[in-house]
Order: sequence, then C-alpha cells, then structure tokens
Amino acid sequence: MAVSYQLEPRLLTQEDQPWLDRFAVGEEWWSHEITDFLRNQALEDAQQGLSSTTLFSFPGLKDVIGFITAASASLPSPQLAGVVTLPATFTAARVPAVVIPYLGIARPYRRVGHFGQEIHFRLLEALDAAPWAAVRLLYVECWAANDGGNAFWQKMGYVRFSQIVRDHPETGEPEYLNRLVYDRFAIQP
Amino acid sequence: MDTMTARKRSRLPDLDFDEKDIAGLQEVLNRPHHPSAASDNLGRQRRALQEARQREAEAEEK
Repeated sequence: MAVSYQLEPRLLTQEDQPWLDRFAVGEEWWSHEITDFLRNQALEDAQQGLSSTTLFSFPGLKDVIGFITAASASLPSPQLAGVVTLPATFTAARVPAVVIPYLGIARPYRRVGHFGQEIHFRLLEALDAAPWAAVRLLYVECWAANDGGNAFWQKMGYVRFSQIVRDHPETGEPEYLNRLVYDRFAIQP
Repeated sequence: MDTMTARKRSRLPDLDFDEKDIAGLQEVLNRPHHPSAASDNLGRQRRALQEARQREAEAEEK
C-alpha cells in the first residue's frame, strides 16, 4: 500500500534563497547549527558536489517545511574482509554508506505531522528504487544533548555505535556527539 | 586591515574513525543481514509512517 505523502520534494537551488532565510529549526544551539547550515552552506556544498540537499514543502507552495542533506561515502571496517570476499589488494575494507549531515524540520512542524519520518522514508525509498550502487549503511551524527534528535534516529531504526567529543559549535567547549548507523540489510528478529 | 571575518563553516561528519568507533560499527555489521532484507525494512518503515499518521488523524478527530 502506498504512503500518502504530505510533502513535495525539490532539489535546493539558488532560487530557493528567499525561502531559506525564512526557515528556522528552533532555539536550541543544535537547532542553530542546522538552520545555519541550510541558510549559509548547503547550496555551496551542493554546487561543489559535496552533498545534495532536498527541500520539502506542502504541494504547490515554496515555504520549506523540512530538508535533508545527503552524501555518498564509505565507513571503515577492517574486519569486513572476513564477511565478504574482497580482492587481495584491499588493505582496508570500507562499507558503502550514505551520510546524512543534516535533517531539519521547521520549528512549527517539529512535533506534528511526522514530517521528519516522511522525509527519511523518502530517502530510503529513493535508495530502494534506484539500486545502481550498493548502499548498505546510512550514517548520522547527533549531539548527545539533543534528546529529541537521538530519540528520532533511534525510532527510525538507527543504532548508536560510538560517542565522540567535538567542539560545541557556539562555545567551542567539548561536547559529546553520538555516531549512529542504519543497516538497510539488517534482518529484523 | 581587513576587518572581514570568514563565516565559520558548519560541522560536517568527518568519518575519522578510531579503533573504538570501528569496533562499535563492526558489532552492528556482524548482526544478521542480507541485501534482500532491504525491501522488508522499507515496508516496515512505510507501515510505521502510515500508522503514525493514522494515529494522529484519529487523535485529531477525538
């Protein structure tokens, strides 16, 4: 059965700048980081081919309800050689992955409508629809202090596998950052 | 003197994994898996979204 989508996607372009200036995720410091990325960096990164940002709006409208930025990458896994057959020349195996640097929902829509869930599902659906290249993992980082963000990713099926320390984006103080992955190939019990 | 300051770039995942990170990731990778499970997992995510929307619609009707 098909899902009834409430949002319409479009790739971020220069013409979207007026709508980006009106977009804000919230008042928390981690929300500032997400808002700042979309307003000031996402387009430049897209133009350089570093990542791709998809905006989501209600059908026929331009106001940004949410966005997701994704890039292809690979994650290191030295023991992968024991799991799959690799050419002998491989010294360090890597697992193909999609990295999600940012996913943001506009503040008025954060607790209603399940828009984050829809946006994430649209990415999974796109990966499933065009399996030209293998992508096993999706990787995200989420500040440990962001309880809502961590709960969201874990609800989406992500598993926290590590916690690192990075500079707080505003104070520069050490801050815990969670590393999480979603395994598309996981066999659920 | 140039008084302009460059905007600090937003943090991006650096994917610089140490041994502890890799060991944690390996634990996830070692769980039962198969490429054919991807479509099952997508179906599970689809149902979860449908059910969440359904629950919200029902709550609004009450």
